[in-house]
Amino acid sequence: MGVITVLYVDPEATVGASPLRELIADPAIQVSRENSVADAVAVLGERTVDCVVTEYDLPDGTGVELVAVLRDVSPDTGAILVTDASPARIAEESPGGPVAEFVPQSGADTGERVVELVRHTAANRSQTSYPLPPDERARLDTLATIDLDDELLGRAVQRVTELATAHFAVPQSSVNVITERTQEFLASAGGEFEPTPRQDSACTYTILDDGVSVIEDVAADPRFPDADETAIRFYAGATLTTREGHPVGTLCVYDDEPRVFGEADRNYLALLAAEVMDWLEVARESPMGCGDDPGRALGEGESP
Amino acid sequence: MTAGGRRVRFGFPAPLFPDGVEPGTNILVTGPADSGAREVALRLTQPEPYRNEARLLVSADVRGRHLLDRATEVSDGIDPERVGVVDCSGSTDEDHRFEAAGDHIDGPGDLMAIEMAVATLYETLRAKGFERVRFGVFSVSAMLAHADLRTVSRFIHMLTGRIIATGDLGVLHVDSSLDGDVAIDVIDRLCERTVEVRRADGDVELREAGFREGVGEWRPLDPLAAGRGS
Repeated sequence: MGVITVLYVDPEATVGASPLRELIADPAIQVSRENSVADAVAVLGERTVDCVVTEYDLPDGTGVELVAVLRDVSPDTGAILVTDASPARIAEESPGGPVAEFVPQSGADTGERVVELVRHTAANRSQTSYPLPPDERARLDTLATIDLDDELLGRAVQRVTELATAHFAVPQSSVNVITERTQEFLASAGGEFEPTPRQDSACTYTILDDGVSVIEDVAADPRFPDADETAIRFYAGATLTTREGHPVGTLCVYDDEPRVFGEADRNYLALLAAEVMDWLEVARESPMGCGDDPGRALGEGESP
Repeated sequence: MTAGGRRVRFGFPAPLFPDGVEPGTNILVTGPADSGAREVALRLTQPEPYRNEARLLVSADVRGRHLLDRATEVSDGIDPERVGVVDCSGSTDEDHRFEAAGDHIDGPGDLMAIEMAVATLYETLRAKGFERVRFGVFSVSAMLAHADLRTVSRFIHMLTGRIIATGDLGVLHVDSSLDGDVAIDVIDRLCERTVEVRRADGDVELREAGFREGVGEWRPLDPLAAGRGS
């Protein structure tokens, strides 16, 4: 990965003291500083960072309040509380606060520990509320080689979603790609969808396995506590896996009421997903893209 | 980790993981309440003194002292100098035979407070000179009973990530009779290895699984924990 971006929030920190000293000294880490909850929240509204490192006591609030906002605006960003405020005091003042790393400020190895956690949290995105595919970095690198704006690709996968809604008699279907932090909709039938935070997306879990995943009643699934706020009750998704084995997205069908999905249904959804995946392979980054003649590109096996 | 001792594989009492596991490994131990899974998990957290190891237990479904007593039984005694307990059961524990933390934790669902206590206790153990730490969470099921899956999975992801980063060992116990398949699957995916435990004809059996190793065959645990309940 590239440079690790850290937002450091502590008005009293000095560059000669741990852990700011060690963070700044690390060439892989780029540190920006803010001094208050309000200023940090403003930054987080404008750009994404890999990790927020914050003191507990801030002029206009607490580091726990900042992490709570962070979980709303950027749920997958790492958070590390570095403070000499006692855990007992923090727990009393901020009961039921959000999950975040905690490092005592005055520990013997505070600087080393914070750098260690920042590096690991950024590289492995270890504060997400969901598991990641085994080789997430390679998966994202592979996704980046696909020209998702290719017009021919767009038309082709749009047709597949329309075939899916007709075949399964469902109101909605979509082809999705799973980016680092969101689910993006490449094509959809039966309605337009907005990009979804990954933690709210069923496809986040579908891409953990090959084949087809089915959730017969989303509202009863503990992974989606907010599901009753949506119209989607039934979900079936087939993983789109590249020739190297990286799951880059899904073909999904949705219904607004629970239903069953038999073996024949699974097989047909997998067949349509294979069709989508062939088109995505054709659109792998190359001078031709899908070009004017996709059959030629497929037939000659042009590589990116 | 650059320290030579921290690259050495973690070892376990026979017959558990005869080849040991790499530093930075997290092991999920799952089985029904009376299967012996808790005892297997406790054995996995048993420190090797000659490796200068300590153990840090998170006691969520029973009091810290009770968990420590159970650990003493399955390990033929423990060294109180090498153990720390975060008692988040919601009960107070007046017995300080070990490094303890958690007076401020409301219960198993207070995950921010648990994280602070774990981190503080970990730094205490490392400051005492222990080279590496075996974490044990008893149990994830208790946390799931008091907090939603999304919050618990974020906590477990963070904890297992910290263990990978520091080259320590994580052991997470799940009572499969309490949690659904979906929850267990999510937690399982946050661990590198899995031990399934069951009781067959009164004997404890286990099988191991890993992302690359696949699922092994059921085999008896005897004579380690046969006949002991959870």
